[in-house]
Amino acid sequence: MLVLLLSHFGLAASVPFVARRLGRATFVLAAAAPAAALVWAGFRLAEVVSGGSVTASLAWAPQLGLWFALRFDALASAMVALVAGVGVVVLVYCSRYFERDEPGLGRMAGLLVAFAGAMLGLVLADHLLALYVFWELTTVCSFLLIGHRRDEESRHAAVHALLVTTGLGLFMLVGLVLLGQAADTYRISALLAEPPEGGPVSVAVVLILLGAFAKSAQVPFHGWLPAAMVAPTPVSAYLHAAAMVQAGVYLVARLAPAFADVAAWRPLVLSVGLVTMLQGGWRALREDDLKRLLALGTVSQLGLLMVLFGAGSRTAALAGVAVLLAHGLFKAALFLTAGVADRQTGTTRLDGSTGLWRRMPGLFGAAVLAAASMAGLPPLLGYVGKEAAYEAFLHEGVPALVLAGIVAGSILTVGYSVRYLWGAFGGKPHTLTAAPVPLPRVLGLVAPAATLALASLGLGLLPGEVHVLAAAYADVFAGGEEYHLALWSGWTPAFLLSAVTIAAGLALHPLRQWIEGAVVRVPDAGAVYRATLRGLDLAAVTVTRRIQVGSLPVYLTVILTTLVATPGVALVSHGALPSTLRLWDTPVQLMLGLLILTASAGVAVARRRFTAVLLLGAAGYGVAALFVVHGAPDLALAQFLVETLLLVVFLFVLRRLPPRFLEARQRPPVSHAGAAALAGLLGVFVGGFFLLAATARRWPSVSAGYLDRAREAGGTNIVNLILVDFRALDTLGEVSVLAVAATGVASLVLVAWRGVGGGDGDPAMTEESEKRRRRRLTPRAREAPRRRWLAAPYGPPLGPRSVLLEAATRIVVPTALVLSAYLLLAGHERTGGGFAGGLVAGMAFVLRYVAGGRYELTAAAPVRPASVIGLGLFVAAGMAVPGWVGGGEIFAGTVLEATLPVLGHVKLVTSFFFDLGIYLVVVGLVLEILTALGAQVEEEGGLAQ
Amino acid sequence: MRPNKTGALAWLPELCWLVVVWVLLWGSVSPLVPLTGIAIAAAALWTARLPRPAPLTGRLRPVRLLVYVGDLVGELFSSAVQVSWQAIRYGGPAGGALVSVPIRAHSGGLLLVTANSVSLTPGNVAVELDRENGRLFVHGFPIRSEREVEDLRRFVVRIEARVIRAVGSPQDLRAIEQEEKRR
Repeated sequence: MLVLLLSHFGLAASVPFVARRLGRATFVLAAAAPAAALVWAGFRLAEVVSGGSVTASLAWAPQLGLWFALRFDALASAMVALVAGVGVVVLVYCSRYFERDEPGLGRMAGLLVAFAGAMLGLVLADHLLALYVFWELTTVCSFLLIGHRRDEESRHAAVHALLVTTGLGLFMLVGLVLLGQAADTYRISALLAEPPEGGPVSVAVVLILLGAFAKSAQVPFHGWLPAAMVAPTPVSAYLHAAAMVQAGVYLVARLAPAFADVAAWRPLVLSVGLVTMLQGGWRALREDDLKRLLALGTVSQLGLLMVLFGAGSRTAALAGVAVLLAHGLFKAALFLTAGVADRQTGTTRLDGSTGLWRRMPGLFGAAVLAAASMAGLPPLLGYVGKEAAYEAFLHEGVPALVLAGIVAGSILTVGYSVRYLWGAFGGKPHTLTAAPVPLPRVLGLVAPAATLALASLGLGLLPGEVHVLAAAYADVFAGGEEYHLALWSGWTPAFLLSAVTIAAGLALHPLRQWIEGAVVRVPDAGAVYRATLRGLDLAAVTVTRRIQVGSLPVYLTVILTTLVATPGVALVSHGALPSTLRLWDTPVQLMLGLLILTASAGVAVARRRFTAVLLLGAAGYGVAALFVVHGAPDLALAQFLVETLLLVVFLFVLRRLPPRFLEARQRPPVSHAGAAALAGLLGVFVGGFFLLAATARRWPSVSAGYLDRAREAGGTNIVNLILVDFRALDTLGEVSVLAVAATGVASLVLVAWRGVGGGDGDPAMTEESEKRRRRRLTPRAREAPRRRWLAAPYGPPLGPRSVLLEAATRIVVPTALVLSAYLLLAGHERTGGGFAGGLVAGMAFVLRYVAGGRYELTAAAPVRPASVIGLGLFVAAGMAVPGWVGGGEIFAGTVLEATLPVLGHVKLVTSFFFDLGIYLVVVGLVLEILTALGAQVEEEGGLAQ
Repeated sequence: MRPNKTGALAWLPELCWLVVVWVLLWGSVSPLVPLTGIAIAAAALWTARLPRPAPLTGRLRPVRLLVYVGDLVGELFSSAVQVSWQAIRYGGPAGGALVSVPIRAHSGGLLLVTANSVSLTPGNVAVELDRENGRLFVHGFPIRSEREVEDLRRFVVRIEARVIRAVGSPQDLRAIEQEEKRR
């Protein structure tokens, strides 16, 4: 099963690359994955219908109870049949439906397969969190596929679907977690075997139902489904009829055996389902667009499915499985025929005058079969399901209202089935040319729809087989009734109701003009959604205006006051100072401490920003020196480098700020004395905190074993080993956060400044002025060889060019790079590591930027900083894989040693590559900062000129 | 001047320097270190994407190099004392001056060594080099009189001469000697 799932995603990732060569045949290739799933399910079916199940699991993080567990049982098999079967048909249909030059074919094929894989994972998942992940994956696929055309309408529809389904999906996540905690297991099979009880479970169930309702387009969250019809028709057929929207129904069906008796379950599911069924059916009858009619029909049918699976009785569950299968088949088939009709007539308006039934009898036949199944006519599968549904609710103990609702909904269903056929195929072809044009590729388009329609017929004729499968699921419900799915169960009340339904439904068609004109106000879900969004925007703006005053001093004051006030008070009231306190180890520490204090106090009283920055740097270097004295060269190195980089960054920022903190007669947002007092308090708090934290240890330190482990990890520098080996996962997390934050900030800066002014950096302009400058020179000067020190002959960002700076840069840069390589390689044994190495290399780029400007930077590193960061993260994260795949733990390192003829003893520790990743991330970050800040500074210069 | 070295050969001195740095960093001369050093140095030069270095035209004269170094070290001490005294005796803002000094060396490398030697000495910073007009601009501190300006100028010229004698090309050396004879 794992292989099956992986093959979906593997194929999804690879098909876009062959799409250019294969063209539309890509879709056929893509169909291989769902086809394999279908075949596999077919072979395992026998095992499942006898009540068994196939399981597979992969330990993800067993310590945390995270298992990647899959389980294939009767309910899953019905869903897999739908997902994979309809998937294959739709993909084949795609290969004929799209034009050869349709943009984004490969992307679409990849997304469809990825969706099939996500859906497969969803129905197979035996772990609540895995289910949630696949659930959201299907949403993401749906979002991307709805937005395929990339116009305004598609975009709105895609966002609508995404917001509604993921928004309520979050509620569902909370519910899933509550449920998992209450049951003390996240395994769905274990959870169903011993359902937990209690207050949290009721809450959890309601939250989960909310998510399921949104996914399956139940009132009041149904608005996104009709809007999603802007997607290409095959997408609608697959995601929004057969597969994705059934996910909510699937979840209800999955949980019903255990939780149908929770107090809130039945009232909620039955009422929402019934209202949805009636509302969708009524609106479908009034709809005049083919695809939206089908979508509203889907909404209605999903309501019926909710009622059936939510009822929690055996007969209803039998009916549910039958209707689930039937609906997937007939609705996909109808969408596919709608797609052909659209292609042949050029419109999806339904005006009842296409005359398509004469021109395309094969297609018409398929549509009739599918629509008959939808309307519940014998001998199709839809009829079998509907009979069972009536039967289920004819029994006592269920409110008669439910039965009445279902009958009414079914009457509407018959009505809109007829309306669809009439609208898509009916009438005389008076608007078209007399002689029908030969229709190209028609077989390839009709065959998929016909396949699905015939499957409806075939399964309808074999109700016994469907029953075996459905019963394997439904038998978990306790219930005395011994109902069998069948085409003919005798002159039962259910049969009579069916007859009435069909007659009444057919009678609706002649009344269509009255229905279309009838004034029945049904609340429009789209309007509700838009109003909600507007309200949200308004609330956000109001809250932001109140809270975000836009003053950094005020923000800092609030944050720091909170810090001092809450943990600080706790510290004073509960903390106890250690009994013995050594003031210093060597007098040097005292000197350094005084230096740092003086510099810090200087920052507080400085009037000029530049002075403050320099003093800040002095304090930082002082701290680094303290590290040295304390015997922590790694920390000191990092501190020195960061301090230096910080100074450069400050210099860039200072360019944009006035030289003094306060202009004359300017009132500070936070009073100077207050800020100084707060800073002092904060310093005392932090110092006291560290003092207490260091002495409050009760358990033996975790670092005690590090020395012994260091040899095992193949290194001697413990600081580095902690970073890249013992605590690699922490480091990866930190680096990722850093990368995300830096990228975010950099993009904000770049976005804010893009398009402002022309700037002075135009190479052609600079070259021109350079020529002019040379013409003004004295003869002697002109003869002097004009040597180039740097790669790009244009000016620096700040001030005029400096030959001295350029030359120094030219000489220092290669050496700095060698030093950075040394730090990177030596980190395992001595002072150094990827972070320090990356900073040194970054410093080389800083130097080149300061000396040569933006073009020099581009010449030095002709790559996008984001790519460097991404590559670094990839390399670092990639290091997790070998250890994990090798059966050990993630980030488990190996020491490769060899004695080579000339070179002697060579040792390579695999965690070096993790360090390399960090190195790249840091270099990328520095480049990103330079690009962002530098662009801003140069823009500023351009404006000033 | 020697004919232009072409291609990879021009990079050789810089490559050697980088390998030396590498070996010093590791503090080991087992065959592995210099060999990886060559690879790393080549990679560093390649990734730096800098323009080709100028061909070396200078000659190394060890005795005169010692003289230059000795002079510089002496100057470091004396000007350190001067600046400290200035800070202790007077305190607060003191006078400084930007002094333009005519220079004679032709090769960029010599100019650089000169400028950086000047910058090394406390109180003095070589601010800018105008090669077209053969001038070095030095900011000196403390400077309170015209005489001290002349002192600074003489110091720069002296250091330049020492540098040229130590590592300058024969051509530069001849120019210096002729000039001094003329005086």
